[in-house]
Amino acid sequence: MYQYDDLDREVVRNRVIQFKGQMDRFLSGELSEEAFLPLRLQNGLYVQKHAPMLRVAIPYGMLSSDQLRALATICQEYDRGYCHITTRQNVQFNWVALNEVPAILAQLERVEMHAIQTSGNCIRNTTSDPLAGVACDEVIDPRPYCEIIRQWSSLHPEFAFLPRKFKIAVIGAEEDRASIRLHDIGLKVVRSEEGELGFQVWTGGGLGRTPMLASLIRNFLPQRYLLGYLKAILRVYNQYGRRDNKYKARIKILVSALGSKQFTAQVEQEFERNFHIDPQLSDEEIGYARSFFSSPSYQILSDDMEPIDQYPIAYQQWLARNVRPHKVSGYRIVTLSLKHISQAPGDITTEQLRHIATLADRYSFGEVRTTQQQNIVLADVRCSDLYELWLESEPKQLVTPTVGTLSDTVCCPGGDFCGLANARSLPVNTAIQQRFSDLKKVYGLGDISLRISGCINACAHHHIANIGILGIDKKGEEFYQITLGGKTGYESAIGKVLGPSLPLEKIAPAIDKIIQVYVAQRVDEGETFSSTYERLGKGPFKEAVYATDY
Amino acid sequence: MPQIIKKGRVVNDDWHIVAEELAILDDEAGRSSFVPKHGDKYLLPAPLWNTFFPQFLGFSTLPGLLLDHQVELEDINVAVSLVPIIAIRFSSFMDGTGFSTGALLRERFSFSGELRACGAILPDQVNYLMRCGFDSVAFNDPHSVTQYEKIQGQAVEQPKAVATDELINNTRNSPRNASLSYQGDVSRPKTPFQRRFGC
Ligand code: SF4
Repeated sequence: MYQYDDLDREVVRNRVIQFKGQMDRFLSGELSEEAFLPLRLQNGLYVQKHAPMLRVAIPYGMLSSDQLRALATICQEYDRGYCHITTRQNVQFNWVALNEVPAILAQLERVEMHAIQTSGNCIRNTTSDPLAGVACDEVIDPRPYCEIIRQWSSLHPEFAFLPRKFKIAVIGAEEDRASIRLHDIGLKVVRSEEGELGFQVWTGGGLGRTPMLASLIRNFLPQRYLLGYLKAILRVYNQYGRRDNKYKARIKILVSALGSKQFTAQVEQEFERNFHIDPQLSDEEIGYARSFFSSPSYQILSDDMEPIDQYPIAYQQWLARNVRPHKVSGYRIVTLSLKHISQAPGDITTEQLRHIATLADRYSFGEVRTTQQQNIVLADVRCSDLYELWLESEPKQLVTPTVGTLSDTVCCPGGDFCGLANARSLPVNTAIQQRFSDLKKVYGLGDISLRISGCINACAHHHIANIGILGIDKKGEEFYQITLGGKTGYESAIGKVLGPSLPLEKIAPAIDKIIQVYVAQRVDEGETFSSTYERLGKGPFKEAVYATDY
Repeated sequence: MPQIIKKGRVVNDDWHIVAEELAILDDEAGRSSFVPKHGDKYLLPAPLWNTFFPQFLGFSTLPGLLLDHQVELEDINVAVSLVPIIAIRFSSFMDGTGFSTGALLRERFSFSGELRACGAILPDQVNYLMRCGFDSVAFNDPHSVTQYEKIQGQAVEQPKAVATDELINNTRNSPRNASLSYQGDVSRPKTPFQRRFGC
């Protein structure tokens, strides 16, 4: 994992000092609310419904056990004993006091963390594959590039006041576990025919009001040009992106207005012009970045597992759902689920944070990753430790064996917390989960994704869910729109609206009906919801949901 | 005389902006009411610059260019090569187009005169502007000058950033000549890890 050097420390410390000054000026009335807004947003501070919300960056999802403990301390001392993992691998504190934010930032700084550019119209935290470095289908570890991008984009003088927020994701594997085509820029590390490393560059993806998948604008960008090319894209966007209408300000609108061909031509022109000015990444630098992500000292172990039928059923279920193969023999990737029915999806308590830190130290080289699905991954667990790990995680409600199922809901904080919400999202999830509390029934449905956003900002990425739910406001009342057919992973697709929106109490029954149609119509148990939907189209689902009683 | 920030310091400034309306007000004889005076320093909006430029021939100081932050630089590259100063007007502190416009003037047009940002700018944005190649900043709001000085004062009082024991523990990671940013600035751009490791 990346370790700060003096420059990193100074950059973060300077920002902490600067932000404290900005906060003091705001509180003393020297800085107007309007002027403070972009400054506080660039430091992750929102003013929410009940209290300010502070979003802390977790660079490409990597956390050390010490950082987990620091987050736990912040939860305990400055918040209400829990925080929330976001769909962009960050952490949110929902109940902090405005005047305590500088103190929290100082605490974070001690463990090499910060809230820089976690909101506002700037380049946000770079996200990546939560299985980077350990996945079996990986071509090359994307994290060294993520770190280079993190640094390059942090406090970049030219791109801090963009038309709108700007998100970059990088992957290095076949399966896209970071949804790169939903990002303003998506990068996939690839090798050229000559064996040279570089990137496929995708641009113009995004969700929100006008969901779009990114277009491929460069099939191969040699790695040394990475930063020059990013700069060219950002510069074209900064000059020509729309600023007159917030809903048309994302780069996706510029790409689609110009057409991806014309947009690409402009980027290439800008890139070529600056070719000689922009410093290129040297092999030594990339190698240096890579040195932080070298494999931990794995033992040489057999990959055989002992027979599992002697163990409790719950453990067996957990092995089947929450444990994945690892690229190294004798190791497994474990997902600690944050979807226990007693907690809101993605919420994590002080106690759980501390416990996970202990588990990480004991079983996974002291590191964890946060995932887009709002869970925590222990990436390097020995097969022989799995049962112990399960036993120790179970009392802390971290072993809900539902990863990848309908119960692994991705859900934003919604109207219960978020000032921007049109409707609550948590009660919708609770109502649905009550109908699907039987694990056998859930397992019978196979892999299926459910995502719930409380407004069109789409923080839960409902557009890419097999079943997506979006809260809308109908004359002051909470209504919900259902979308079906979204997907991410090997293929990306944006879900289509099923029909007119429904009130809260009709959503869970509607989801039930959709599931019934799937179960009745699938060719066999191997046909996923996604394939069935593709084969049938929305007709039968719509019919079932909107039949007479609706 | 208005005060501006120039190279990090508060100074008096005598470049004045010629309003578009004023300059196009023709009298009956077809002459503009704007008659440049010897020794005065003018910033002319781009459309006027071409019109009035001939009147300045023989003057010791040519008029500077005042540009809208969204200007297409290709259209005015002749003027850019002649003027001693270019001022870019920011319409709102939320609109960062001007940061790129400034950087482009330095990078692509090799503009070497004074580059000024003026208009709706926050004192907190000055350092970013400087790193994008600007030399001076003229705020709309006169209080911003005091605020800027205050911010600079805070920067000077910063505690020593690196504790000695941290330095000792991190010999592998000690930076060499690394300035305080990851990107450098327009005049000296760098990649993040440049000069930060021994090899
Ligand atoms: S989707 Fe809307 S309601 Fe949910 S967290 Fe995002 S902004 Fe808030």
